Amino acid sequence: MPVGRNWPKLLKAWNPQWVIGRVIGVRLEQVAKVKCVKMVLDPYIVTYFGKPRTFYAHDPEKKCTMGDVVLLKALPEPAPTTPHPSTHEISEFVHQVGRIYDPIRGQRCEGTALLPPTKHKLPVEPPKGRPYREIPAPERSPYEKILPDTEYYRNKDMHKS
Amino acid sequence: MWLTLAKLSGGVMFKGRMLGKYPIRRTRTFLESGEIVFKDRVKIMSVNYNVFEKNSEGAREFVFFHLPQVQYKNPEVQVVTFKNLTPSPFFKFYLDDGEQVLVDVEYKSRQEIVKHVKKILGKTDKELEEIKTSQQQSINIANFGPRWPRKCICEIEGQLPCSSSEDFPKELRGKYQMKKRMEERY
Repeated sequence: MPVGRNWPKLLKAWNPQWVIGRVIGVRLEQVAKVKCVKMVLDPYIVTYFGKPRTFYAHDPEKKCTMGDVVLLKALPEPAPTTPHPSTHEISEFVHQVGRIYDPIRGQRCEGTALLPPTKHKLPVEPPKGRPYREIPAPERSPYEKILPDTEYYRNKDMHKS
Repeated sequence: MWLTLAKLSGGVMFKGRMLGKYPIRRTRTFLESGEIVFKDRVKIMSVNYNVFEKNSEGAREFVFFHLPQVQYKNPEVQVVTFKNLTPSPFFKFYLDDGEQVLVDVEYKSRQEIVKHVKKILGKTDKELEEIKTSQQQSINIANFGPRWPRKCICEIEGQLPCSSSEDFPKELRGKYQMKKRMEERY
């Protein structure tokens, strides 16, 4: 990997197999634009700054919306999509917009507060990007535990204390 | 042993001021004294923590002090942080074969977090020593040059002395040899 202050050269040489990024573009057909950030050391100030790079991910089923945090896996060959050939594919949704799950408690949450079990369905207003009715309904998340209502009410005032 | 700017200066009274909070974090000695060196399988590390909650105090301090150390020792690993998304703080490591490791970090101090992460996914002290010795063995002691302790060939025993202190013998100077060749020709 090249070292120093030549940021464009350094970012062009960064072609990893696994990346995490945020979706910023959704208007292309079968392709999602994903912005991934790499922390790079400035040699004079000796601090780490985040340098962004966009990757093009191949999703023919249009599963993602704007703002999703996504885990990408590199394809063995870049897929022939127009106008940009997509080098990665979406392997997992880390955090989806409006559907964030707390992996330790297994419930849906909004910011630093857990939501009650009645609100575990999707919100009604469609966010920016594709509306929810176009996206296929998700299966149960890997973190979701079927907890009784008492678990929510026990932790209801957690964020206040 | 916690590093301080006074200790780095070698016991001399340190009056200079670097900018920022805890500017010791911005020194190379601090970055190189990091303990966590990940195994080759780890590709991504993601840190989820809260900014104002009490349960993620240790995570906040870890991100403030130890995250640059981790990134310095593992430049190939992508380190990603998320703030205030979930009520509980956690770390997640993504390995090469698709495996994921979840580490709960709620109400833990930063020293406990560093120990735990080093135990799970870090290289042991033995492996690090082996890597050090193998790097030293590959270096040839007889080398000289701008990168090594002996800068010029004149410092080596058995070679000619430096041309800055003593003139070269006449027979070895290029002037003399060219002059001789010209005389032989004409």
